[in-house]
Amino acid sequence: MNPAQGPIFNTEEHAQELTILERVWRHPRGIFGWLSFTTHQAIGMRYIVTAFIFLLAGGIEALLMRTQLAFPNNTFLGPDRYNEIFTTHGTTMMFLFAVPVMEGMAVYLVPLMLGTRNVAFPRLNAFGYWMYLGGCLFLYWGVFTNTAPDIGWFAYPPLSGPEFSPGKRPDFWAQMITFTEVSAMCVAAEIIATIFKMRAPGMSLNRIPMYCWSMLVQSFMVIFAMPAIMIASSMLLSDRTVSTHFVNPAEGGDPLMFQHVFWFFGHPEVYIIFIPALGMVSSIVISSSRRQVFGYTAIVLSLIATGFIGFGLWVHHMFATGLPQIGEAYFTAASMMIAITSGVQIFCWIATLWTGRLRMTAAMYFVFGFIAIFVLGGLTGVVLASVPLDLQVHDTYFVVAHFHYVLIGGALFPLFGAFHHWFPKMTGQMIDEKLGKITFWILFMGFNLTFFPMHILGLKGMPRRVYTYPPDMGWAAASGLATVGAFVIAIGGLLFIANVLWSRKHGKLAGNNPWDADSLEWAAASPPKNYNFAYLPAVTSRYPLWVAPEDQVIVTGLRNDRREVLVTTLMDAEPHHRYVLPPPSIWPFLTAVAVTIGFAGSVFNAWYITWGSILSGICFIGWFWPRRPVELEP
Amino acid sequence: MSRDAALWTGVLAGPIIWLFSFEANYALAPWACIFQAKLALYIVSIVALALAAASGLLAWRQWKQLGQEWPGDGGGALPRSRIMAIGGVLLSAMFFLVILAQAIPEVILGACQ
Repeated sequence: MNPAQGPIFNTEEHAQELTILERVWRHPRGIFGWLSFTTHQAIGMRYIVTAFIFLLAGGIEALLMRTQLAFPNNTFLGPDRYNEIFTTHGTTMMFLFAVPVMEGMAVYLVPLMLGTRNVAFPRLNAFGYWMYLGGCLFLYWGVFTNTAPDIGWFAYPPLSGPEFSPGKRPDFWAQMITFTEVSAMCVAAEIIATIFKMRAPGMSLNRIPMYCWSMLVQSFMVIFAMPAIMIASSMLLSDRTVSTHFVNPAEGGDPLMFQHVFWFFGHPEVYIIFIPALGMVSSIVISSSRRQVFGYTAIVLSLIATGFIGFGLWVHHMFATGLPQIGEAYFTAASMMIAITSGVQIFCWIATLWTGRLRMTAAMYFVFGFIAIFVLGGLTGVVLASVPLDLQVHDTYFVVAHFHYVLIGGALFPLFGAFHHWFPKMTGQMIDEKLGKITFWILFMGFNLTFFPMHILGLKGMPRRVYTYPPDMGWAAASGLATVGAFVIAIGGLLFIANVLWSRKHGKLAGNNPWDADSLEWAAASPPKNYNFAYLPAVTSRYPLWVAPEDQVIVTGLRNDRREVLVTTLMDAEPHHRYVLPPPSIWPFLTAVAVTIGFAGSVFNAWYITWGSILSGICFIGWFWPRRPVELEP
Repeated sequence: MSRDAALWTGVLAGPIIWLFSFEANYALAPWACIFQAKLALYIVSIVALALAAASGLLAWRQWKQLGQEWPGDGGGALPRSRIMAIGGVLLSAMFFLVILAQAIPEVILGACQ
């Protein structure tokens, strides 16, 4: 019904409703309470903050590497330490930063954009976060006890096998994977369920916000890709700990199989990071150009096609392994075809910006930076998709340049844009736009200064992962330049942190919708209340907040005295039934601790899997103990 | 076939046919060398192209039945069905192209290259 009509706008009743909602959705108090939070804003924010801390850790590792490579024959880091640091850098950035931060943003934003009160499985959401944190602590436990993995972020056997890597270093890598992948699967499952079944009434498939489409595609990719890496790392781990021979060629195992299984995950992983960024870009472009997006259907279809084709590229990481050439050519073809789907989206955004009334916010600066850098990275991607060219630059800095252009350009710039765009929603205060734009320019210049010379270094033949190089190779100038660039990026990062801290304290109050944006998250308070919306919205358009206020409608008939949400049908989002979400609980945290004991202990003694399973079983009983939905006393 | 089943088939058939034909061809590539014959590769590609075209056609027919209009952002089943129908046409076309692109090396390269 229309909020302007009817009895609910009686202010007294309205205040009463709000008090009830506040009480029902209140966070539990105390330290145990804090460990029991299940609201999506709190969990999402925990993901984002934790991931950001690990971005800093990965960044410091990058600076250490660049310092070592600044001069020929430098002795700042020894070869062993260097191996540990580049492995930890890659592992941290991929598994502890890029994927989790995208998940955190989704956990925070998706329920708001869909017009509901929480994700579909709030306790699973909390469990996923604690597992992720467990993985972070586990890897860095290794780092601080001189057991950091030193085998590269993809840990190829036989190097990572028991023969060539005695000790526990690769085990820390392999088991960290298990932690973070469990977490990613939890988020994927709940995001899919939320998008399919908890959309605001009226939000049929052709009205889903672009960002939610991107998260839907990404979540499906997670579900199909992540089991592969868990199989790969588990095979490696069991070879190392219980003497199986999955990847041991001496006993009939196959190290190449590890590469296949790893990259069957590893390539989609790139898109798992990149596709949410595309959704963020679409949101920013729509609200900054103040018009409907050009080519909604084309962008959605491109996202879906990218999600599929992303699974057909993995062998282009393995062109140097001597596979049959016709087989390799299939992957060349697929790698080139995926450029079409990315291109379609870029052209749609350009058309939207071209015909809109553009507002140059800091977020838009990052979007333009993304387009410039990502297109360059995409072009070198087409180069690397070609077998002869790839063989020429395989394992050189050209590849390093390419994937930093794609990942930093394709994911980090949109993410920083998203931080600037949604900062007012998450904190209630405006971020300083001028500082944001300065941050952009410093990051943009620093980025190109660091990674552009790496193309040249690669073409000149500098291999990846060498801890130093002799002076007569002619690599010193470009390498030195890259080091300068890395420190410029660090300055940009510090400026961003300063801006966030300053704006948290002194930023202007944002109000609900400072950008006059179109999607439902901007209808909630800034920062959103635990229950998101006083009255759940229903939508009558693809751009619900651009509908005249008198035509904006809400849902009535839900009970507010328990955590009730509306479940709608998959395709047309027609109201289906009411569903009561569970109250906060300590069990997801305790379960995560139990699983952590099992996972972490199994690196040292396989029996820990048994003890961990028993403990987790006990915790699951607590978690799923049947109880009536908690209702407020009248 | 119910309308929703036809719409879903249109949307999902293209990519799924591609995944299967691609995996099949990739697995058959070493055998093509052993038997010095690429016939199996050709058959898989041709069948996949035909199936992708059929899925596109199915989606196209749905779209025609739905009034052949571009999907707007209206509510209800009709605009939503249209986006699925046109999605089926375009996704089938896209994956037809991908299958075609992957068939090119089969023609150009020798069985053992």
